[in-house]
Amino acid sequence: MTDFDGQVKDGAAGAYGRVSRRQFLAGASALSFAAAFGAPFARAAEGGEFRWALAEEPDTLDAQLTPRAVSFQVLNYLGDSLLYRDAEGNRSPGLAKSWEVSADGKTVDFVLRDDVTFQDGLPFDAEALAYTFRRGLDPATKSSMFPALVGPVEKVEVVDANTLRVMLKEPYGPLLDNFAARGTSWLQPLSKAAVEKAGAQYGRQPVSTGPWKLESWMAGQEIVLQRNPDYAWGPAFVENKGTMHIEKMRLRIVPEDSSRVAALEAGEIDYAPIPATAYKRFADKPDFTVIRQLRKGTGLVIHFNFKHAPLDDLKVRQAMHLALNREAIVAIAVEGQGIPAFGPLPPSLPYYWAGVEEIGYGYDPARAGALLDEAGWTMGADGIREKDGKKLAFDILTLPGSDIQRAAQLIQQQYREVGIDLTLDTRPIGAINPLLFAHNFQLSFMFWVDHDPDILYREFHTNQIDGGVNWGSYSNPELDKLLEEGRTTADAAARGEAYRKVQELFVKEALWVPIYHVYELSVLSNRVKGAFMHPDGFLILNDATVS
Amino acid sequence: MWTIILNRILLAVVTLFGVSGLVFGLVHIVPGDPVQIMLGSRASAEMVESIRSQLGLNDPLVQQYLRFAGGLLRGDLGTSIQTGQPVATELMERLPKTLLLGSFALLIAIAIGLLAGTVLAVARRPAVRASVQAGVLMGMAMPSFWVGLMLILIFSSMLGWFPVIDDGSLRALVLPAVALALASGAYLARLVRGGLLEVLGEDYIRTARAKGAPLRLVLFRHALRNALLPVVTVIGMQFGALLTGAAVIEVVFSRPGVGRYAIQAIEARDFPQIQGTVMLIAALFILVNLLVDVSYAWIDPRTRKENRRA
Repeated sequence: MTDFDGQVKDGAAGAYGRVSRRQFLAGASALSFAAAFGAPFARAAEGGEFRWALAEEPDTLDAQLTPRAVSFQVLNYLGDSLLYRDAEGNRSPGLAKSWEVSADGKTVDFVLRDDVTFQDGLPFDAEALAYTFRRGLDPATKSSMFPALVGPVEKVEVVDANTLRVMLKEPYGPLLDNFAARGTSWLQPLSKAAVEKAGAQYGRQPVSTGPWKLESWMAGQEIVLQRNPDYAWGPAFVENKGTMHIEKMRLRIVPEDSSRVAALEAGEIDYAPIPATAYKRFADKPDFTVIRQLRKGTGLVIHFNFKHAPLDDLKVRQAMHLALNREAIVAIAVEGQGIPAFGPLPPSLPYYWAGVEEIGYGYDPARAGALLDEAGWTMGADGIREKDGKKLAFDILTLPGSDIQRAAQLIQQQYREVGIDLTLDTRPIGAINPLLFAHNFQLSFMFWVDHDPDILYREFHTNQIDGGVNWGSYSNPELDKLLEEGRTTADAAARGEAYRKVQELFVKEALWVPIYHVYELSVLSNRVKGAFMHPDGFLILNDATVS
Repeated sequence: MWTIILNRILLAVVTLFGVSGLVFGLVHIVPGDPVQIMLGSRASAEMVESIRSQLGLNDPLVQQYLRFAGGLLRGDLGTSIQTGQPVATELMERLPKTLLLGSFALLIAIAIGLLAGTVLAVARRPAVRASVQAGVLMGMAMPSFWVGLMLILIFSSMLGWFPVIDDGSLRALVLPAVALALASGAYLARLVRGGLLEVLGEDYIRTARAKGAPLRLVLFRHALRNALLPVVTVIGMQFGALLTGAAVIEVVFSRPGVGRYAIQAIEARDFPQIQGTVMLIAALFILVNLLVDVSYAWIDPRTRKENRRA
C-alpha cells in the first residue's frame, strides 16, 4: 500500500507509526533512485505547471486572519515553519535551527537560520519573527487562530539577531506541536514591509518566506503561484532544498464534486480532492494515484446535551453507543472510506491511545436493551421505550452533507431497533451553530478538524461552557484537571499520559458517541512525479516535477 | 415617450427601496451569525462580540438599515464581513462573467424559441410538429443542473469537445449557455407558436397570401413582427430568470459569477454580500424591463401614437 505506481496510498493511518514511515522511506528511496539515475530526467522536467482544483476559495490569504481549512492548504506553499515533524513524529528543524524550553516551561528560545529572506527581499531574523508574533497577538489585528495556537504569550524578546525568546504566562504544552503541525500556514512569518504597505489589502498580496509566491488571484476563478527563485531553505525531509522544479501552481476553484472528478479524468487537472463515491473511478487506474489520509479530526460523532434528561443517565448514553453498528454505517455513509471510532480522538492525531479500541463500545443491541431496561425504560406497544409516561425520543440536529444524511438515516433505524425514537432536524451549519452555543438542543451530529488533542479542553472543560465549545455543558473536575495537565506540559511523555487518561475517562463516561473516522481522498495525476503527502496533511512538492 | 421613461425611473427608485427593506429584513430574520461562522468554533465569545460591535452588527436594526440605505444612495454596497473587500468591487469582478453567460444564453434561447416556435406554427407534417413539441416539453421539464451535468458527461468527458471547467475560452461558454437556455428557449417557443398562429389567422395575412406572396415573405415581413410583441415582454422577464438560474449553472460548470457568489454569501450569512447582490440583480432586472418597455414603442407604432395622444 505504499508504492508510487498508481496504486492507492494510505497516508498516516496511524500518523506516526510504521505505515507512514514506510511511505516516507519509499518516497525517499524513489527520490534517491531518481536522483542517481534520473538526474538528467529531472533536469529535463524543469518548469511546467501544477494544476490543482480546490473545492472552495480562501476568504483571505492573510495567515493570521483566516480560519478556513482551504486557506491553510494554500498558505502552506507560501510560508515556512519554525519546525516540522518528520516521519517518526519527531520535531525537526525548519526556519529555527534549534529551540529550547526552560525548566519551568514558561520560556521558549528559538535560534533561527541566518540565510532566509522574505519574498520581497527583507531579511528574516528575530526582529521579523517578533513582528509576526506581535501583530498576531495584537487585539487590533483580530486574529482568532494565532493567539489560539501560540497560547498565553506574555511577550516576545529579541535576544540577538537570530534568537527570539517567547515568554508565556504559564506553560503551554501544544505550542511546539502547533508550530510543527501548522507553522507553515497560520503561524508563518509575515513581512513587515508588505503588511504596512498593503494595509487591509495584505490578504490579497501575502508575502512570506516560502517556496512559492502569489502571482495573481482572480476572484472566484483561480489563484496562481509562481516559484520563488531565491528559495534555499527547504525542510530536512525533502531532497531539493532550493527552488521548486515546477514553475507555476494554478489553483482553480471548482466547488462541484462531479466537475472536479470529470476534470481529473479529462486531464485538465493534476490534483483534486474527491468524494468517497468517486473512489472506484480512480482506484486501479494506471494514470492516477489515489491518496487516502485519515482526517485529522472526527468523521462523525453525536453530541449529548447533558442538561437534557435522560442524557445525564450513564446507562442511557452507553446504550446509545451499543445500539450502533459502526461497520454498516461506514459501508453505507462513506462507501467504506472510513474506520469505526471508539474514542474521542482519531489515530491520525498525536497522543491517540489505541486502548480505546479495546474498552470502547462495540455493536451489542441486546446489551443496549438490557441497560435501558435497568434504567427503567420499558418497551412500549409502539416499539418505543417509555418511563413515567415519557417516551424515549430525541430531536437530533443534522448537517446537510450527503454522507451525514445517509449515516443519520441508518442510525435512526438502528436506534428504533432498541426502542429509541430519533427525529432528524436537518439545518445548514450556519443555523446549527447558534443553537449549540445557546445550549438549545438535545442531540447533535457533529465533526471537527484539528491537529492537537487540546481541542478536547475546549470541548469539555467546565470553563468552556459559556463562550467555548462545551456545548453539552459537561462538568467533571477530574476531567478538568487532566485536560489542564495536557495543555500545560510541553513534555511529550507527560502529555501522552494525561491524554491517555482523558481518553479512558471519556469512554467510561460515554461523553459523546464516536461513530467513524473518515478518510479524505484526493487524486494525483501520474503526470506529476516526486510528490508525496506529509502526515500533517499537505502535499509536498519540493521534489516534484510535471511531465 | 419621455414621460414613460421618467415614470418608469421614478417607479424603479421606489421599487429598489422596497427591495432594500425586504432583503435587509429577510436576511436578518434567518438564523445564523456571520461572524461566528467566519471565525469558526475556535473563537472565544469575546472575540466574536468584539468583531460584531466593530462591524456595527450589535447596533439597533433600524440604524443598521439606515446605514445600508444611505450607502446605497452613494453607490456603496457595503463591505464583506468575510473578506473585508467592498461588495461593489467583488460584484463588479464577477458581473461580466454572469452577464456574458446570461446574454449568450438569452441569444440561444431566442434562437431556439423562434426556430422551434415557427416550426410548430407552420409545419405541415404532424410527425415534425410532434417531435419538436416533445423536445420543447423536455426542455421545460428537465432541471438545468441535470442538463448541465449530462452535457458535461457527454460532450466534455466522453467526447472531449469542450473543457470540463471554465478556462476563460469562448468554447467553455457553450455548454453552460445551452444548459441555461433550454428552459427559457422552450418557453419562448410556445409563446412564438401561439403568437404566430394568432397572427397567421388575421385578415391582412390572408390578403397578402391571396395576392400571391410566398409564405416565407409573409412570415418575415408581417407575422413575426406582430407575434414578437408578447415575446419581447417575456424576454425581459426571462433575462431575470436567466440571471438567477445562472447561479446553479455557475456552480455546476465552476464559473465564477454573481450567482455562485450569492450562494456562498448565503451559506456564510455575509449580510453585505447578500444584500449587495440582491440590490444589483434587482437593479439589472428593472433596467432590462425598462428597456423592454421602451422597445415596445419602437416595435409597435400603435403604442407611440397612443402615448402621444395621452
